Amino acid sequence: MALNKNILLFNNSMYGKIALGLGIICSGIYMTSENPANGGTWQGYTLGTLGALIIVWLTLLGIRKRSYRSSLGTVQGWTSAHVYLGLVLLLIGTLHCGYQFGWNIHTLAYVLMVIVIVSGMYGLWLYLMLPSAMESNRKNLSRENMLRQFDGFNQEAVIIAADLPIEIQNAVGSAIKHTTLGGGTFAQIRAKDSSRVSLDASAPLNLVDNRDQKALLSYIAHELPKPKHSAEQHEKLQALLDVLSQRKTLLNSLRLDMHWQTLLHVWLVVHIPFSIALLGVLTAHIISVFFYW
Amino acid sequence: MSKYHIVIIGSGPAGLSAAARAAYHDQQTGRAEPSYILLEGFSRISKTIDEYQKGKHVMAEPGFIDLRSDLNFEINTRERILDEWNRGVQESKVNIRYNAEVVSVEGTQGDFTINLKNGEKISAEFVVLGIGLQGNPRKLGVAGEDLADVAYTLSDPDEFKEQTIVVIGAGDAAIENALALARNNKVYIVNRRSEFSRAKEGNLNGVLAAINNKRLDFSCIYDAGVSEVREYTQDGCKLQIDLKTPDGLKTISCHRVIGRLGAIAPRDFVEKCGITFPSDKPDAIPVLSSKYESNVPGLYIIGALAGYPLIKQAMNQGYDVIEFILGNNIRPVDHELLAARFALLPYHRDVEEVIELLQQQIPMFQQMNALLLRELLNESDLHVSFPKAEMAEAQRSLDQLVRNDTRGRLRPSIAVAEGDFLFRNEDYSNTFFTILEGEVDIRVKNKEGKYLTFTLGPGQFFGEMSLISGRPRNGDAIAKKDCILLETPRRTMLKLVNSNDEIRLGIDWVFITRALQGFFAPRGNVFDIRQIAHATKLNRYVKGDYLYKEGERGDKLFLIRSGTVNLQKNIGGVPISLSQAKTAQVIGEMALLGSPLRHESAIAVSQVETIELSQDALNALFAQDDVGRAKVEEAAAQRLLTNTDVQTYNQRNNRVSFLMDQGLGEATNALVIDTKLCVGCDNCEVACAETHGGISRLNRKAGVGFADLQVPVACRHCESPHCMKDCPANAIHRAPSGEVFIDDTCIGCGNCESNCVYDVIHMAYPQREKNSVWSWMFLGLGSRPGEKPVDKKRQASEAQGKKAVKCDSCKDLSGGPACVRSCPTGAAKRISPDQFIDILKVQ
Repeated sequence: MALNKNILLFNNSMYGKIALGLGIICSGIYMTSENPANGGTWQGYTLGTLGALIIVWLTLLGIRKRSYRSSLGTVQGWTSAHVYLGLVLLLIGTLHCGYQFGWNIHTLAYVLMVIVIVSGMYGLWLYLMLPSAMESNRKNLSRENMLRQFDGFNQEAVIIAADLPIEIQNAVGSAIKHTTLGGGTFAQIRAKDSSRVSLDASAPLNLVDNRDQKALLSYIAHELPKPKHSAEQHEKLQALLDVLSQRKTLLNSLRLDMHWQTLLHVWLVVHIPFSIALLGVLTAHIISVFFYW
Repeated sequence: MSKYHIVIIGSGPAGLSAAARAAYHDQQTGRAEPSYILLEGFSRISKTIDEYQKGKHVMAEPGFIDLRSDLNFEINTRERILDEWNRGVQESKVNIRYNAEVVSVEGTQGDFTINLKNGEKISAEFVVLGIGLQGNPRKLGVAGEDLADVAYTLSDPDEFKEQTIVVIGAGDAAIENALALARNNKVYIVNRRSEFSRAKEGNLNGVLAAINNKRLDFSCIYDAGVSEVREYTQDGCKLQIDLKTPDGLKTISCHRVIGRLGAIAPRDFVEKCGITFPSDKPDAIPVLSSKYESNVPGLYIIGALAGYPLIKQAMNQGYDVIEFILGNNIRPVDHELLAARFALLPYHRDVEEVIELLQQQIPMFQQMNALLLRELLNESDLHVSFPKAEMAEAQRSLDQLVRNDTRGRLRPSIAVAEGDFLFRNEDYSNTFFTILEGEVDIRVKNKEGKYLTFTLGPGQFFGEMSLISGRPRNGDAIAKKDCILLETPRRTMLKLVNSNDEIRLGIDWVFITRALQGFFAPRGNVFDIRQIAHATKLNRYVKGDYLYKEGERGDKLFLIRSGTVNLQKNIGGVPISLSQAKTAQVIGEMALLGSPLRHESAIAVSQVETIELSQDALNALFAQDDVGRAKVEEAAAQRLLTNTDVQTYNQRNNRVSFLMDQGLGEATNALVIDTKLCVGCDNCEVACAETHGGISRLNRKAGVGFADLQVPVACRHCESPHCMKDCPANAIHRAPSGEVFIDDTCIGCGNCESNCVYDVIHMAYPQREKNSVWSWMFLGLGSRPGEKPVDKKRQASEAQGKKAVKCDSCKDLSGGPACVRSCPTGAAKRISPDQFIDILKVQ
């Protein structure tokens, strides 16, 4: 039982060692070929067959992941092997084609394979980097709890503002109303803050940029030193500023969390459809190769 | 003063069934005036069941026992069952009197006087008590406590909308009612203290969240007591309540007051009738004869108060008790079942004779009354050993018996081959074995890998260690030639121990003797060790108690009998957990090995029981066997070594404190998430749902996190499971490999749900078999992974009522827990407290 052992380290990186061995053997096979190396030699067929088998096996992860009763290894082990064999596949595929490219279905299969592997590498990088970053960003709060806390700050701000002049109440109300968070997948990835606020009570539709809640905070900060407020109101303004700044910090954390959480899902939108396309094109590639015989 | 042959008190299932039987006899003999009367303190029958929540399904367990009553009863909703009984009561013209609360019963057989609350007296020759265990709710105890809108129960919170309701009390019932009402009403909850200390964690969090939730009209009045309730008809309100608060008198106008102040246990009343209890334990059961007669001649006790919480049992007893009083010596309904249980016994005698014989032969049974022994036999398995050559023959006769039992209710004796294991070392079973005849070998492996064998004979028992501590078996038990054994489930045994001091002390003494022998002197003399056992002290601690404190001088060591103790040391002003000690481990030994100053504090992290040894007792044990001293010294050295390890990993140590705070100290197998690896895919929850009928038994997101660890809301398979405590159907078991699971006999009462302090048990409708992922993915059939199965006959499954569901750690899957195996990054792990130290060693 050890904590923090990522999938690359699974079982002392056993699958990494296997993949490395496989890579060395395949390079050896490639070396034996006479020029020009290509898919039509015995070396090419050997590497091609191996590569195709690996591709089929790699896609089986999708099935194993959903075979919840299976006792065939663990999904963690499968994922670890998936990563290493996927990486070595780039080498095997490249050696198989012998660096010969053209405008044909064979190269299309190669390109698709590269897209899948590169998207996989990106996914792996996300899997390795993001959990720690997300953990420290979230400070052990769940998304639901963060949103609940956010609601709490909103309410608190409104309650404090209720004892302050109407312009301030309006500003707080307007800022809350026009704070943007989340949205569609793209909005979540971009994590763009298009929050706005109206600081003019007479023109509630006259919205100005409130990115990072800057406009609102600056407005309150400039209100604070003014002599027109009573001592009690000063206290309230101070409290309001505190709450709003905590709210701002939380908003940043939430945006970052959404951004990362979406990234963790969205790379699969490339990886999986391209894998399926690869399977199709690969089949066509193999069938068409038989016509050369 | 009216006079009856029989007075039945309480119209629950037991009392109603008794009255129906008495009515039947009256009808048979053509009496014009009833010979009996049924007295009910409430305005309707079966108050306890009447107060179940609306639409609750009432189960008819145990399925293997037949119903014998003039009233019908089968699995149905609360409403239907009550309707059916009301109809039965009318049809058989049962002589029932409502609102007749009995204050006392005086006298003896032939001359009882029953005093009612209104001052009326009734005389009777026989009295049957069927008043159940719920007791009467404790009232407010102030003027106005009986006003129309002052209630002490709440069956349907949705009945009230847009009202102001004051809930009095701070226990779970009060909080649950208040939270349910707060959805549609303005609610005040009145707490006598300054905090909600009695509530379980889930309710505590719920009530605190509600108080702080500005959108709910929910407030708590702390440190407050009620001083008066009065009618008040202004502002659309009905009542006005005065509260004494630290800020002076506070008056609230409201529509309704609900008091949830617990119940007055019926024990005082029962004792006032002259009935004695065998012990002071709160769950003790009065001593009864095999015909339910108490120590007061002519006064009979049936139903839950007699120790039978299930409706069907209670109804059967109602029937039987009237027959017994009328002098009809009928055979109990379980006669046939016991006959099958005794099938392999070599005696060839009638059931009653066998029971009598066993009672004479076995010392422990001599302490029990006939009724308890009968129940023990009914709920236990009987094992009979045969030479290997005769096994086939024995099995054939059992198969024959089962074949003839067309209704599949019989549980005949079990044949075991000579030399077979009854249990093995490390098994998680916790049943209790009594040897009726023959011998059993107990084999314990010592550190060198050699077996030490003890032979136990007739009248002796074993398995008490796991029964008491909840820990796995320590050693193998092997059946020898011609032995006959009774294997009793934990729940039955605990009930027995709680209601019989003699048996409890006997088992305790044997436990201590064996624990001392096992730990200190395996080769010592049993008789001498028994004497030493007498000189030890048994201590009990609740969570948070100190066994001893750092810096104190000590002169005792503690052998832990059950529970977990956290050893803590102050390092740089911060308390740091050094290690956890569990059952069968010794702590505080350094004080008796020459360094009397305690170097750490020992704190109970669950309910803990210890055997306390003085220097003299320890020396006496060391004199018995030289292994003892070496073992204690080794244990001490090991602990010191671990402590140095822990100090090396000092900074990460607060992780262990966090796990302890989350209650993992009492866990045997808990799910934790490594948040440095978790990508939030929720495949763990989906896998759980997919392998458990579409309902996930774990909730990852709701878990609590600290540093890089998260403890999801999921079962920890506690060492002494809280859920097992109070299961009327005995449906919660522990598999030999340690998993705590609920079987199909669950009656859906919800006791386990409320007893679980970690909120991991839920009530759910039984689900249909889940469709495969592939038919959903490719054909669009069924529901998606992680969701409930599509059920076209949903109403039919819902009619069966909800049952309790919880994690079973996938005990039936060959690969182990699906949550762990389906985690793509290895973030989900299952750990036991022994592995906490590994967590510290993270790089």
